[in-house]
Amino acid sequence: MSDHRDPEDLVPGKEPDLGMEIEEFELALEKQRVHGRTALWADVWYRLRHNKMAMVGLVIIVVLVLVAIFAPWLAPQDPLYSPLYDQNATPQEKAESVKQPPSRRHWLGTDDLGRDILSRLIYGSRVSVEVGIVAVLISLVIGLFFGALAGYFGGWGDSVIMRSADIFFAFPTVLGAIAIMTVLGPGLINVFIAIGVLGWATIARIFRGSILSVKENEYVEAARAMGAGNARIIWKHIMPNSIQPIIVYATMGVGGAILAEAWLAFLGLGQQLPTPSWGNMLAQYLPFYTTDPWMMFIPGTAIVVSVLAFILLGDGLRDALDPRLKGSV
Amino acid sequence: MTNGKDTLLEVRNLRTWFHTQEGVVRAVDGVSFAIARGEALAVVGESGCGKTVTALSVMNLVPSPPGRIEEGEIVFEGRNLLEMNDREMRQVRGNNIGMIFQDPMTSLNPVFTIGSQIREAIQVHLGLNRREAKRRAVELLEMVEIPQAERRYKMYPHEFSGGMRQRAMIAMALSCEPKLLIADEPSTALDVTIQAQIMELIARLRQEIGLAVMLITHDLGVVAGVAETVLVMYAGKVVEYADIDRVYYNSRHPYAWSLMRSVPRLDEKKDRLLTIGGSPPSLINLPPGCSFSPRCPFAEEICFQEEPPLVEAESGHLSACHFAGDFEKHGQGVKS
Repeated sequence: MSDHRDPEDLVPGKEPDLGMEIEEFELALEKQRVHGRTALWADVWYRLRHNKMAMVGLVIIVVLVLVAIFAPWLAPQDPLYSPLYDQNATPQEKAESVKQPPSRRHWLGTDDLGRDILSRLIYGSRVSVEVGIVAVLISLVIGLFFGALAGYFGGWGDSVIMRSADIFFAFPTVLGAIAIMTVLGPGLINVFIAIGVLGWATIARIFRGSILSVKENEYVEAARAMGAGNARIIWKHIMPNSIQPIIVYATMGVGGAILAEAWLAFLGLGQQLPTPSWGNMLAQYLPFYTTDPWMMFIPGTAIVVSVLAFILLGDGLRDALDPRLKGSV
Repeated sequence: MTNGKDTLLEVRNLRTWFHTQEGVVRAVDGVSFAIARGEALAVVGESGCGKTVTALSVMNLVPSPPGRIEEGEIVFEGRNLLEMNDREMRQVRGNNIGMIFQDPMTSLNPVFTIGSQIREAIQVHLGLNRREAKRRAVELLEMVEIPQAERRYKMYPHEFSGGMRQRAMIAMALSCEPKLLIADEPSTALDVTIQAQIMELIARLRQEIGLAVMLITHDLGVVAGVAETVLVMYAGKVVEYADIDRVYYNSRHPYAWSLMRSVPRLDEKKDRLLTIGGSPPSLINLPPGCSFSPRCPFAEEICFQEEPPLVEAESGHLSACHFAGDFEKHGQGVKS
């Protein structure tokens, strides 16, 4: 760490090295006070900020999350409102409301029941964001716990955990999710569980590998010599030093979970109609692909763009967390 | 060697073996020694002779598997550490026995500031609150002569030089006022001037806080300034154990004797230093008889057949050599 000297050493907020003169040292300390002293994260943010693709991804993600949170205020209409079931609508209004192309009134047109597609898209983002976050959290909790057990303690527990992980690897995610959904029945909660449970194996494996190398560090031995117990050693000394690949994987995993949810909803196993999700919208619009193909492109594009955003951000995070890896993968 | 003084640590007949695929490695095989309160004991020997494993055994930190303490007693203040459960042992580590390691570059956690690492140890062991613990941590940094301690407290390990990191490690090891400091080659990874400073620091701390030190090293020059007693190890066994002057000037074992003559000295003019031929034996297949016999310039018939016991060559001077005391007379044509 101390012997590298690259232009990034000049980053504000970067901590001073001790070879410098007292005055420079004071200056560096001053900068450090101004810019906060979490040098690692300041560095990571600096590198991330200069990665255009990652910033594109980040902006899309921020927009996506804001849209999901503020859906009721942003949506121009009730996503469930259909003139066909409106007793006040005249027969002509009903006839004209269906499958309209984009217009000033309906920016993305209307669907086969005359519902506003933009509103459905905006509400659908809620499902995607929820699934992305909750499913990945479930994977993280299970994966980190078992990964830590396996990596830190080793022995037969390690074998049992990693062989179980291998079993999970044997299922393609979507196929596995379909199997689980078939057992649990359709519904959003079950989607969380299915995708979350299937994701643990990869996280456990990455974390275990990471721990295996980190636990050999002398500061772990030193902590033990100071009388630290296993829990403290894992939590304070190993976790912060081995969490970086997990951050990257989890970021990309959110994209993966969004995609998996879309798959399941498309197959009718996820969010049930009439509540919109991007997957069930896609399934709903698919029959019209010959007559009105633009309809299915709308949720399709939303899915692609958000998944891509998480992958771009994850990629950028990997480069930012470990600049030595840059360009290598 | 405690000579009837107040014994702090006593190790009796310690055997720590590693069960590997190739066979049983007898890393420590029947080692006994004692450290009195405030005493400094140096454990010297070549790489792989069991010095570090001895220290790890005292801390009960031998990597297991494959390592196992097969037998022996490690009595610290009257209590056998080997009979303690995990919880009690954690209390001993840090609170009673502190340890510093060879490479200060890697013994600090890179993601936390120096201060928070020391403070954490204090909070956990002494139960002080955050503010008190911080004050104490800064005091400790000052005690180990780190300038601008208040500021360095907030720095990360990568901003410290090697010597400063070792000082920080010492501060951390001393944070809970242990009675014994185990220093495992504390100066090996540092350059010579820093080495001297670190050794001086350890010597000063001994004076100031009455700390007992177990200093593990292969550098005999380092030993001279700090320790009172020397334990020379070879192939997992104690070969000589006496106070420092006797080992240095009146060695009773050919291995220790050769070691002393392989070090350059300022006050003696020599053309060539003595070298010890061969290399240390494999700990799995020890030669019969005395482990040192294949390399010993004075070895005779008996050395290859019988293992010499550790006996008192003179009062307070233990040696494991058949010819303890007069081995030089048995040597033929060996010049030092």
